[in-house]
This record gives sequence, C-alpha cells and structure tokens, in this order.
Amino acid sequence: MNEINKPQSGSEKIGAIKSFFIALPMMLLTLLLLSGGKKPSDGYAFVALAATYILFNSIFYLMVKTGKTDKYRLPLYFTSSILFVFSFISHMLEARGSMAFTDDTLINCQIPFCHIATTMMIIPAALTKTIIFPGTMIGGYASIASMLVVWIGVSLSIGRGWCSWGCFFGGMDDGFSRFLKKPVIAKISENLKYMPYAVLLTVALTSAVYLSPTYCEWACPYKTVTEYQSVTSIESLIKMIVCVSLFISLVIALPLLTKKRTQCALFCPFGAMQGAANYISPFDITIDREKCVKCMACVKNCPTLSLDEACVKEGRAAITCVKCGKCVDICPKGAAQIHIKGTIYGLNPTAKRILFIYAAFLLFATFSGGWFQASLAKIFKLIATGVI
Amino acid sequence: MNSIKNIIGYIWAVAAILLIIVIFIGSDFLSKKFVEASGLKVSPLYTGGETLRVVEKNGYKMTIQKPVFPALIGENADGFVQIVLRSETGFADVIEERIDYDGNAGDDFLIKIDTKKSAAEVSSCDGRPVSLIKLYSLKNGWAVRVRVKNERK
Repeated sequence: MNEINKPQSGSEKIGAIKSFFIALPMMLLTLLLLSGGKKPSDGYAFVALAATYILFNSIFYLMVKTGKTDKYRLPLYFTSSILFVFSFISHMLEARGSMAFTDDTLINCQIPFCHIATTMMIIPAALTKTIIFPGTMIGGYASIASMLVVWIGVSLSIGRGWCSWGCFFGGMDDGFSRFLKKPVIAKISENLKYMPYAVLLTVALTSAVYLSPTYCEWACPYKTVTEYQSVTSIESLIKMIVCVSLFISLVIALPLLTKKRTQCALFCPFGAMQGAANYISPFDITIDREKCVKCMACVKNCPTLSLDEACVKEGRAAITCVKCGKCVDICPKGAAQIHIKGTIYGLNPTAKRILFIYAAFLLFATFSGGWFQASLAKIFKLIATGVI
Repeated sequence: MNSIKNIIGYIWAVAAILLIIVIFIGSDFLSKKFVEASGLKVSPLYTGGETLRVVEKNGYKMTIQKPVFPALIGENADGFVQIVLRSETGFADVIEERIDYDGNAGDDFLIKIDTKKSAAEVSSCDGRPVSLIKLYSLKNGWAVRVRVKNERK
C-alpha cells in the first residue's frame, strides 16, 4: 500500500523517540508553568510538583505515542476534579473554618468567582458596567478578572473544549459517566438537548431582573462540594435541598445510569453559552464521509449527545461538542478526526490532533496544575505527619 | 486558494496554542488591563456602595456608604444605605448611632444594635420612611443595611 492510499487516522501510533521529541516542548513549558519559575516552599510542595510534573507529562507522552486522546484525558480529568474539590474545601476550611460562607464573606466580597457565573454577568455588565457577584475584581482567590481573562483566551483557543479540559467541575460527571460498561438507561430524548438553552435563558434573564446570580444561588449542583450559604432560614434550606438533589441526580446518578455527561449536556448554562465559542475556535471534530461505515459507534458513545445521524451525514459534530476526543479514539475506521478549520479534510490528521492536544493539554496542565499540586502536597503531608 | 486557507488554518491553530501560554503567563497583567479597559467593577449591591465618610468613634470605626439604588437601567425607587462598624477591642452591649447619609447636616435615621442578641432596629429622624433590611455579623464588627427611598424618583 503506498503512502497516498494508506488510511490516515487521527489515532495513529507514533514511535517512541518521535513521541518524545513531540512531547519535549510540553515538558519544558509545563516545567515553567507548573513551578511558576519559583522554588517549591517546602519538601511536600517539591514532591507534589515533581509528582504532578511526571504524571502530566507521562500522560501527554502516551496521548502522543498511542494516538488516543480521551483514553488518557479522562482519568486525569476526573482525578483533577476530585482534587479540585479537596483543594477548595481545605482552602475554605483554612480561610474561614467552614464550607458555608458567612455574612462577613459576603460583605467583604470574598466569594471565589466561577466561570459558570459568567452566563449571569453579561447582561448586567453590559448595562450597568458592574459585576453582580460578591467577589474581588483583582487579587485574592479566584478573582473575577483573572477568570474572565482565562475564559476569553480559552474560548478563542479551543472553544467548548473548555468543558473537557478546563472546567474544574466537568471531570465529575465525565468520570461517573464511564464507570459502567453499558448504560442502564440507553435512550435519552433528543429534545432534552435543548434544556441547557432554556436554563441559560432563564438564568440570564432572572439574573438581569433581580441583579443577582440566580443559578449560583438556586440551582448550582456544585455548591454541594464547594461552598454554600449557611442554612439559617427556610429559603436557604430550600436552596440547599435543590443544590444537593441536583448534584446527586445530574452529577452522579444519571451519568452512571446513562453513560452521558448529564449535567454538562442537559443542564449547564455555561456549556450552552460556550458552544458558541466553537465558532471562533480553529479546532473542530469532523467525520470523513468516505471512510465512515455508519456503525454509529461515535453517536452511541458521545458523552454530550453532540453526535447524531444527521451529524454523521453532514460530516461534522454539533456545536455542543466538548472536544473530549472520545469519538476519535473509538472510530474503527479513523473517520472521526480532530480538524483545523480551513485546512484540507483528511490530510495530516495526526498533526492536527497533536496541535489540538498541545493547546488543550497546556490549558489543562496550567489551570489544574495549581490545585493538583496543592492537594497532593496536603495529602503527602497528611500521610507523613497525620495533620494537614 | 486552498493552500492559502490551509496555511492560515495551521497559523490559526499555532496561535491558539500560543494564546493559552500568554493568558497564563500574563494573567496578572492581562487581568489589570482588562479591568482598566472595561471599567467593570463589583456591583454596589454587593460592596454596599462607595464610602461616603469614615467616623472614628470611642473604640470603633463607623463607615457610612453612599446610598445605592440598584437597577438594570437607571436607578430604582428603593435602595439602601450600608453602615459598617468595626472594632478591634469589642463593642458595648448596645450601640446607637444617628446617621446623616445625604449630607444635609441633619440626622436621617437612628440605628440601634443589640450586640448581645444580634438584633437591630432602625427609626427615622426626619420623617422619611426607613426600615431595616438586614444586620450582618462580621468577624470584627457589624454591618447594617437600611432601606431608603430614592429622592430623585
């Protein structure tokens, strides 16, 4: 078989030495970005930095060498979200002695900003030039401006890939959705795909009317594992019940039963908004119609319902695609590929995939590297001394 | 034409990688520039508004903030004035303060905080309607939000 007729797949294996050289720039960049160019503060921080660095780069090397993206992304992403929760809670316990925020936290505007709140900020920010969130603009833990800068940059770079490589919550339902081999609930109504847009519209409008981040207050499942309002009234009790119920159902139970990322695909208002960023990102997922044998493995396995028969026919994933790489990994004919807009379809799929994973993995390593190291340092210290 | 599009596509993809590096390395600088350029700030609904004046009292410091009439467009007919009291040494069982928030040299309302019961009362001094929105317990003090009417509405 000559070079031209050889099937080109985005999941091709690469030799060990070539893989090493491809991964080398990532090794150098992550050394700089993970360490921040500073010496670790103590022995635990040094071991945590070394462990994080070796783990991240081993995973990246395997992604390059084996041609598999999601296979290695998923366990790391799931671990990262669990360590994020550990890091966040321990930080809150150190800073204020509780996961519940107090009057003091609110009056002093010390609530860490989360990207999901962006969906509620846009209309009031455009009309009043103010951010309706009790956080700090600059400085402190997770300031509003730093999160907005990261969000804008990532949106321009990998679009909704944020939801598979950046979002510190996304790893949870992503992880739970892969625990069982087969789904208990196999069929999900197609109409439910529109649900996040309804949630987005509702929270954007109610937040504008009440000048208050309504989703954060009333419907964010992740309050359960980060921080929440102290239960001091019937209203705060109802909020707590709603948030915990949503967490148990959308982040744990339904992903387990359906093998889909139900929180991200069916409820998250940020995800709905972030889909638009796929228009401005250079990367997308395409399906080579000549290679495709219509086995529909990609449709069955897509965790965010971003592929259906119409998408396969059209040769492109829907705008809701989170660029996790699952379809590229499992396609038996190499028809599903990570594509760069403007370039020739089907040509150099491996190079395109590597360019994408450079951008996506750099985001992952830099964004999650901080809490990954902080959590590991605490865990190592706990093992060694018995105290955090 | 296709080869130009092809080259532009790859340049765009490389730029996307560089962008990720830039936003993280230049995060502090870019955040400051973003705030300067956008002029965005945290809503006074949360900060309590700009500081009108700070009064040093016997054993505590009282900050009176400018009235806030939050609305999506323009100003609301109802708003609030936030008073923050902070002390390093602690407070008496009952604190009473007369507040002039509109700068007309006359007291507008009286706040009374029972620090033992964590309760507060508000009463008008000049006949204009006022009411207590909430008393906030802080690490080293108290904050009170008092509902006031917008004179311009």
